[in-house]
Amino acid sequence: MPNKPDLRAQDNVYSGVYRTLVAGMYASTTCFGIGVALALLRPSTSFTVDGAHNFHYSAIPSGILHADPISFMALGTILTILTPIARVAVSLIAFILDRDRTFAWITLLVLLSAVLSLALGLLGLRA
Amino acid sequence: MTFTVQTVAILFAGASVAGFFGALLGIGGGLFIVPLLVLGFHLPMKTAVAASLVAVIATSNAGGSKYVDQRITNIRLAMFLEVFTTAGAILGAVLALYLQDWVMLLVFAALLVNMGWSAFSTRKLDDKRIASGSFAAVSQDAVCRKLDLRGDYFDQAANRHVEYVVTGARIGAAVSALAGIASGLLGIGGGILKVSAMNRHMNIPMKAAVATSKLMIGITAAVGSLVFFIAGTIQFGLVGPIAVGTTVGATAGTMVMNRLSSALLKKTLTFFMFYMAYSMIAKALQLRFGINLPSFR
Repeated sequence: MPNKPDLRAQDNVYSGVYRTLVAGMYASTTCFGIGVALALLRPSTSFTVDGAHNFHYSAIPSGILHADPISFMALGTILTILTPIARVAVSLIAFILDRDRTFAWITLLVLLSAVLSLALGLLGLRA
Repeated sequence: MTFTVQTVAILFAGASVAGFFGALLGIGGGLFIVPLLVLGFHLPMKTAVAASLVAVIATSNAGGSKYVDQRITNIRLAMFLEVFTTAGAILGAVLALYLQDWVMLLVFAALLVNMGWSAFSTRKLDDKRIASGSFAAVSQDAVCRKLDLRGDYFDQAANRHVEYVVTGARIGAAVSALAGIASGLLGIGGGILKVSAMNRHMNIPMKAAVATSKLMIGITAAVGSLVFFIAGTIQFGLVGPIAVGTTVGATAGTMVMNRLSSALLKKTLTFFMFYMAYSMIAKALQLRFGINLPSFR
């Protein structure tokens, strides 16, 4: 029988990942919830479904100030997408704090691969 | 498309079901969301896939956080396998330039049938092994030993503490890379492949595999979503109700999963694997020979 895993040694990682995911989930769900509620209050709210939309993320701050439902949902989308990336970044910090060098390198590799994968995807878009 | 209570209610309900089963099985749930949007709302496939990917992340954030809190997730294992999944996604994006879709669809369909049959034929094995404690009595390969890959969790259905050691690092890495390739090449999540591989080849109890996969799918989907986001393909108004639905469904799923027997989880997983394999074969036949089989994707 193996020794029981020393979970206390991984507390930084588990609590860091948990807090990041929960914060991301609550923040994005709140934005989505407000956006959906506002959209239902304004029956004229609509969105296109063919091709690319004209919405630019720079319009989000002013849209939120004007209680625009789509701006709230755009912010929710951004927060949703960034949460797993933040989770990996927080894991990296936690592994460094735990002096777990091997997993710090592995996590850094995951982050770099994600960046490379994104760059390739964007190149593919332009091709 | 305008916002009505009816539209929002249908999107929310469909997404909740997707989130629920996604949390039970460690998969994204695009399997449910894409057909709902394409068949139910007659949306273009690209729009449906982009919205579905964001929903997959939402379910990973919600389900992943609960399983981390319950300590069922093995974070070190997730990180190890994520290296290969993200590398596979890069390879998939490159291969997409050279390979024909129908060939890859048939290859992955064959893999799914093989793994689905394996999950079904070993459906009772997990519960027996949990009872005998044999998940902890396996000799590790050198890589898993060096990385100290092992874990434990409390199984509510079996009412006992389950310890396990991880082995089969090479095959786990290979299947994770294949899942990444499938994600980069075909736009599918790959969670279904990872859960099955972890359980079958890496000596990981079904529930720990489900929880670990649930955490892993978020980062792969996030990369894909960023590409769609920058391309302007994501329709935020569509994503809103779907993301809320998958979050609610996934949260409910995490409350149920640990209370179910592993055998039931494996039977459900087998059903979805065969369904996905059939969808892929139907798509391949349509692309190569113009044959239209009934399909929901």
